[in-house]
Amino acid sequence: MGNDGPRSRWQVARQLFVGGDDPYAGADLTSSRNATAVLVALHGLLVLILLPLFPPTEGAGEAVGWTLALACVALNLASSVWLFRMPEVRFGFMLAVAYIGIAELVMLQLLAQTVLPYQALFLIWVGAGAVQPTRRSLVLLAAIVAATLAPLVVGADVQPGDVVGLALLLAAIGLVLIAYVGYVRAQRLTLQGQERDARANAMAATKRVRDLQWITDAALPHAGVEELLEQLLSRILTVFDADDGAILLRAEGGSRFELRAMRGIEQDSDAEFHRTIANRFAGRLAFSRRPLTLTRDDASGLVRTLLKGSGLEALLGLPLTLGRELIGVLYIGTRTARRFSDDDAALLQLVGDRVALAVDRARRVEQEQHIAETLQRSLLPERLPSIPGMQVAVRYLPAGAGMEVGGDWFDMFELGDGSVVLAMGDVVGRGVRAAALMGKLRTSLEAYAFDGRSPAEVADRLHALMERQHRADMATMLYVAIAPDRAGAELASAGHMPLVIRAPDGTARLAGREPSPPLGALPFVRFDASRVEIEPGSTLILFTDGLVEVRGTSIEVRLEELRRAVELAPADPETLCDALLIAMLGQEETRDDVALLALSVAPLPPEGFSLELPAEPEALSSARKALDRWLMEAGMSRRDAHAIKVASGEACANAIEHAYRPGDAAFRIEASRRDAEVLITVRDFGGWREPRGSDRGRGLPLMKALMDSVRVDPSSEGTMVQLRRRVEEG
Amino acid sequence: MTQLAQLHLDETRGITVATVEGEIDLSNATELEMAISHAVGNEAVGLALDLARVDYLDSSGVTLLFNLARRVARRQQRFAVVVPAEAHVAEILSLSGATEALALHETLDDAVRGLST
Repeated sequence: MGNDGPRSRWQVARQLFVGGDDPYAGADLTSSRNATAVLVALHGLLVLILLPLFPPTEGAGEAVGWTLALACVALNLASSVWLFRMPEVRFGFMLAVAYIGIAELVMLQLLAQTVLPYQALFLIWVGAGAVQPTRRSLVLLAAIVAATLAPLVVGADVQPGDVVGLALLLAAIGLVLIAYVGYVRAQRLTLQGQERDARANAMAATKRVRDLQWITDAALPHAGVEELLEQLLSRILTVFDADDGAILLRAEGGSRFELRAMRGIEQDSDAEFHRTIANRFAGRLAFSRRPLTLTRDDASGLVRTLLKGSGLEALLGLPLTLGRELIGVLYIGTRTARRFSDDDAALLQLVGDRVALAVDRARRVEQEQHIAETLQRSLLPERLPSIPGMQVAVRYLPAGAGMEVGGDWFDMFELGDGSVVLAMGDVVGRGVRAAALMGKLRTSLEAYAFDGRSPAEVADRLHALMERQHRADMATMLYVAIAPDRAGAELASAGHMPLVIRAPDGTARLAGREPSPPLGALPFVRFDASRVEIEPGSTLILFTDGLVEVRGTSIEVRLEELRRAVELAPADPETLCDALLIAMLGQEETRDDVALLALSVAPLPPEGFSLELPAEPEALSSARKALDRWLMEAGMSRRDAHAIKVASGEACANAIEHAYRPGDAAFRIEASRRDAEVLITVRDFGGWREPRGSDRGRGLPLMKALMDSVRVDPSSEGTMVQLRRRVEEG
Repeated sequence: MTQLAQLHLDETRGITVATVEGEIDLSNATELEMAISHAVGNEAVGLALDLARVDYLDSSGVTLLFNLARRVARRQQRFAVVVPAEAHVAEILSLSGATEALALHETLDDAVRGLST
């Protein structure tokens, strides 16, 4: 690896002679042990054979010589046995044994004062050295040749020719062996290397596939685009071990890049940074359609400055494309000096393809969801009409996050004859299709109702409509028509949840418990209607199944729970709705859409009423209807009633015209009767204006002509008009 | 929204007959005026406006009548209004001075006859 510091002389020596790297690391070392043991035993036996022929009696006396020689042999044999028992022996150990063997032979030469026979045994150790790494083998070989030549130097009584010849022979044999072993070993190492590389490549490929899958696992089926991008980016950074990153998407139909996800770099200041990088990159990336790397050294101008300022060293970026369309740019960066490799680029390319697909899919899902929500919202009534003597509250809870919109709907309107229609329904299915069908049903229902159809006829017609145009769909519906006298209602149910009626004394009951089948469910169905009595002061509650349906609990049980919750709740529609939602749904996120409508029907007291209406021309008819009903209930003659109605209408029209702005202003009409005199008071909260042109100029004279007295009191808070008329006793 | 009034258009002997049913107030008067005035073709002799089945009419309805009369007169056409004397609307028209200014008729036939002579 070359990562070591300078080595001490001792380390170099050790490396050369015994220690250091083992070229056979990982090999089966028992063979090394056996070879060493055999060599040592062979050495000992050969010495034992040579000893009688060349006795060690010359150098140091007979006794000492024999003792030393036999000790050497004994040591050889003993260490051979000892070696056989060892579990394994490193090749370096064999080298050490070789040096000891050589030293032993040199000593025996001295003791025997003879050279040749013992020198022949050096051959054993030439072989032992040859299997060592070349450098060490050569050192051993040099030691053997030196030992062979030593007698010449010390001036022993030998034939120089023999010694030199033997040394040359040993050197030649040694070199041939070393070359041969080196060649074999090199071949093996090459093979091993190839194998290792192949394994490493296979592992890298596996890891890449795994990384890729892990990254794109983030493309959760229901995740929105923002969440998806955040997740993808964080996983990409983990896999590439990068510090910073960003995903920018092109604004739909535009060329600007919008920063959609960002990691790393201090968040506040750097949206601009990312955009600059992206734009800079995007041009090049869009052109090349390949991943590109950018290092601080390569960068120039502004980008270089930006990179420097942010502490980024290198960037790897790629275009996100869908077919031929460039949808965005993805890049990652590191703060440490690093070059992204071709492998990184290739993997990022694969990741990019998947990211582009995931983004596309998430966008489509989001788009559809958005369309469906918009559609649904635009199809539900923006505001329910304010009808005198009625208070209405409505709640609409879309299903939990990530769910498509459903087809729940409701409506409320007043018919020309003064009856009030409440309708609620649920189209089976979800998404744009359900929302569209729900809009169609609602519109058709209103049209049929205004055409004067009875509740059962409305249901029949809606069913026929489904049969004609939406054979595959199904919808439930509850239609409640409150009679003009408010004393009863007619209801038709097509497979819908029952109606809850809360009497003024607080008791609640369910009505419409035997519904006809849902619209579009069965052919040849005729819908029935039933009648219910409504005591003045009752509250009607309509809802969709989302309010009561809970997996694992029977619907009967839940309906009873709802009935009891209604009895416990206050009568006011707004607080009643809130109380029911809490009681029935708790804090849980709803799995299905929930629509809930509560309407209280108050009687109009004969002594008078008061009503606040929005300052819009459409409110005139509401005011008229309330007045009409009250005048009828109070038993006025038709002539009186008509005069009062027209005069009051003129006063109300003035009030509407006085309102500063349409929409957020209101006016109030109060009607009361004392003996034979009816008093109508109309107040607005705008400034009094002189009648404009001849148009509204007709209003005041008409009021004066129809009533006995007309009083207009303008003030800074608004204008009050009081109309009085003596009526015939009826 | 609740359809306050309905308008039926017809034509007999070159006379445009507009029948209004329901109620006329500030919320629909302008709309009705436009619809009726557009229905009268240039070649028409006159316009008969039948209010016999109007239950409610306020000052904006009266204004509607005067405006229509003005528009029709500008085109050299004749204008007749049908209001039965016993109708509530008749009282409003007389209180507003429309009775004198406009040609009022008891029945549609009267009005058409009056216009074609």
